Amino acid sequence: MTVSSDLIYDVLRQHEPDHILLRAVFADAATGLIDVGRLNQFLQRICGRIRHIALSQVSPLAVPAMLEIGRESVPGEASETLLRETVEELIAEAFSGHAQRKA
Amino acid sequence: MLNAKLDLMPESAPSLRSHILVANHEMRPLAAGALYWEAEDTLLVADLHFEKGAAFAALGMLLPPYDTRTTLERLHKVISAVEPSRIVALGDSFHRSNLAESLAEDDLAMLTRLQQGREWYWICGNHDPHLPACIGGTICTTLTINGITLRHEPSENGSGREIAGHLHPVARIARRGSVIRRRCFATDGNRLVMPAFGAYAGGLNVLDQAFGTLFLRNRLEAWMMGRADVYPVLGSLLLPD
Repeated sequence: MTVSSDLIYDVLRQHEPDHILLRAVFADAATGLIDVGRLNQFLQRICGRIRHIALSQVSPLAVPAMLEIGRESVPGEASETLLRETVEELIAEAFSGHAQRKA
Repeated sequence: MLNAKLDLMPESAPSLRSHILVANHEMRPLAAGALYWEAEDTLLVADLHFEKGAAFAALGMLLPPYDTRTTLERLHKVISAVEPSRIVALGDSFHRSNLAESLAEDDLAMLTRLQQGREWYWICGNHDPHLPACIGGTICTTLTINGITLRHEPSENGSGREIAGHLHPVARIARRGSVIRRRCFATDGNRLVMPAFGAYAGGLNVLDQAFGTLFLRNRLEAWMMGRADVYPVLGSLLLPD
């Protein structure tokens, strides 16, 4: 019988958040999708010298970043939205089907 | 999809109800995985699998030993939400019968507190066919309330009209290129199979052979557990694993 790693992760995080396995997982993730260490150094370097300007169009230097949007998926609330959509579609179908039968 | 439209009558469409109808009795599914029978003020849970972590540890597979505590905390939360006067655990409440006697003191104390002031029924399961008296409550093999039989394993024969556990149903759907797989309450309006409540309890796809002919296929509904809501999904949308 197999046990899902998700279940173990949730239970461990709740009761022993400092467990070595969790620390290893976080250390791994910190260098996986994004190098948190390098990002930290960069932000410290430019601290106090950031000019925020809202552009009306995508700037040429921003194009590579814009292309990356949606490339990496991070699980979140999306599943809940999809489940709700499934139910709402059912409601719409039920009413349209009912209307067709009445006509 | 055409079949779904033909089978759907708005008066009985699952999406227009927030309650599951089991043999015409209304039951409210809770996102935590429990079923509340309002008219009987009874809360149903199944497959708690207390001490599964301990059982695995005894076999050399060391899982975090907090599953009993986590399951108890989830149980506490759902009981506090509805404050039922009766609670029925539909079997496999303990991963092994004898592990019921070696519950940690704190866990047993928490369980005893949950039982106070209400009726508590332990239905025996295949994992826990013999339960000791120290866990309190009333121990039985089946329980019938207002014409609905509560048991651990669903019965293949008979007219249905039962609520059972044992199979740990999980439903899988695809939407917008994503696959969503969740524990669910599986029903055809006559018989209902509960999701497993236990923290370490696995799941089995509701389309799997193990479910056999328990449900009338064109009436199968999987009420999928979300974070806070339960989503009714027609059988025709379900995918195998």
